[in-house]
Amino acid sequence: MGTPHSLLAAHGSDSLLLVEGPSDLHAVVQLVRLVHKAEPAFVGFDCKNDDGVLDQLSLRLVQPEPTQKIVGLILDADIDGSTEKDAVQRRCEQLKNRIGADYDLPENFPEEGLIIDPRPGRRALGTLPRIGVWLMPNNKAFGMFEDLLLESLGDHEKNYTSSVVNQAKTDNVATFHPSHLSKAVVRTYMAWQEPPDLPHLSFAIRKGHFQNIETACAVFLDWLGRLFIPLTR
Amino acid sequence: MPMIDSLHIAGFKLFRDLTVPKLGRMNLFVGENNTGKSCLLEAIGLYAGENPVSDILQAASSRSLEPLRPWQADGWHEEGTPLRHSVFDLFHREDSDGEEIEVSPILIEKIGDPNPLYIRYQFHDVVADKDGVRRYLPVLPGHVTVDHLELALPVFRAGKQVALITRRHLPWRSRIFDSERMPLFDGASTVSHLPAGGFDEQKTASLWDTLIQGPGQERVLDWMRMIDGRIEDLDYIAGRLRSRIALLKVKGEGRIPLRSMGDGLRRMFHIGLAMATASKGILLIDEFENGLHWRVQRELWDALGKAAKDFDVQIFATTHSRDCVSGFVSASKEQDITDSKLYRLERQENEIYAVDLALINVEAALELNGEVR
Repeated sequence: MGTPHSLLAAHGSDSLLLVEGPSDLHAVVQLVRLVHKAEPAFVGFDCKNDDGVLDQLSLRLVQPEPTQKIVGLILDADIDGSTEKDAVQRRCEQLKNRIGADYDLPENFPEEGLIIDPRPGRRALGTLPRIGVWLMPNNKAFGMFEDLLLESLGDHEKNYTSSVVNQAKTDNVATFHPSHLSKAVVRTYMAWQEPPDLPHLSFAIRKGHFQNIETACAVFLDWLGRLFIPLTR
Repeated sequence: MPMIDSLHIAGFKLFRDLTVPKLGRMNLFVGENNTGKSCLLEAIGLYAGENPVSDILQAASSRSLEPLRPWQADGWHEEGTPLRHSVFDLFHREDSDGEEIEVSPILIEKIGDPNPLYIRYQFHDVVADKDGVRRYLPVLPGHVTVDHLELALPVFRAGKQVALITRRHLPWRSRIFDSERMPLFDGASTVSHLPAGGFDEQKTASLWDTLIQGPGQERVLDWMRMIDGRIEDLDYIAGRLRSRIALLKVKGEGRIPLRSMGDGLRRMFHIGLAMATASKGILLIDEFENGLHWRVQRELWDALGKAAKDFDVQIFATTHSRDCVSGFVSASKEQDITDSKLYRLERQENEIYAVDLALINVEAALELNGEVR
């Protein structure tokens, strides 16, 4: 991929997207390319995991003379032990601990993705960034990026692959953790396409294996576009 | 002891108008040089201290490189430049192309404070009454003035004048306005202020003496043992010219003068003394890290956190050291002091701001080798 995401570049750019892992990062960049036919204007940064995303945000809030104007976060709503009901709430609490002193978080997490500016009145050198947060898959349900991708498959493809994966689980052929069901379904589906050995989500996105991706990701792409202006360069 | 839970300082030294919205049991201030970290500690000392006149004069002399100059009665200009007794340097001044501008009063208060400390910079007519006693009458607007004009500093607490600092207080005479005792205000506390360079020998010896009863001395020795576990005891002996010399009893080495033992041990001795004499009061430590190894700083913050709770002390410290910040953060967690506050003082032209740094973010930033100072 063409987007530099070294730590150095991440420190230098004024628009930064923090994500949980390389797979998500490449997939988001590929999605932007596919839909907008241009390179993203933000710098993506692989933070290794969810704590990494939050820690990188923390760093940018306390460093002297903060330089980033926009920091976007993509987090999975899948904290260990959380349920469909409290997955979003628990992420919100984590966020509040980090940014609550300078930002007012809305009571209910917006389904169209969060974009907030620092509370006015903080006087300091440099300014705090605008922060955007998307909780995968859709800011309301427990899940991850693959849940969003599942929605971009046709009903037949999705139902068929899901039933096969579930069957494998029932027959003890599959050992994946139940919380990773959507990952298993997406990867299984990818393994059945040509070529069957695509290693990354981003390759499958480029190949067009996710037929309805533009529709399924419309709200997500809209959030990205509202956060990073311009979205592409 | 009622805690200082916030601070608003106006017209004091570097601070035109500074607000520190929230303070806790342990408070640490970072920031570049010349952002007013030491001034902040002085302001807290003045605000919380028990004797405004001597505290104010002390603050004036603390950073002055020269001894206090006489404060001349007549005229406040000397060869065209304003006569600057260092007590006037406590007042914030804005450069305006060398022109003398009106000096704003000093205000130090908590947010919503019923007992603000207020010091004015005011000309007075000095008159002798019929008994020959000198009286200072404030020069009010429209007042036609005569020959005996003199600057003096009226000090107010809770809206009442509690002292008038005039040149007659100098050198080091602490005279109370109208011969009345200065009434203690509700919030007055013991203030133990350890400067960046440490206490002088005389002060150190007298603090040690105050701890002779009770476990205070042993506690200070315990802290020194963080640096050298072989320390058994400390005694003062008489030196030349009425000086006193601290001798450490070190296991296997006998008695060794403390001053030959290195900066770290001396610093720890002073921090221990400052803490032990700050019970139910306020401890101010300027440049916390001076002379201390990073590992000791962490251990020391732990010990301070514990002592702050046990002896009801509120701590304010400044630092340039990353290890100090890191020790502060981990001790706040370890000792479960949830209201610890870390601020970075920032300067933009002539304005100083206090930026609140959430400890959870600082901890993450340090973990990522990021900068917070």
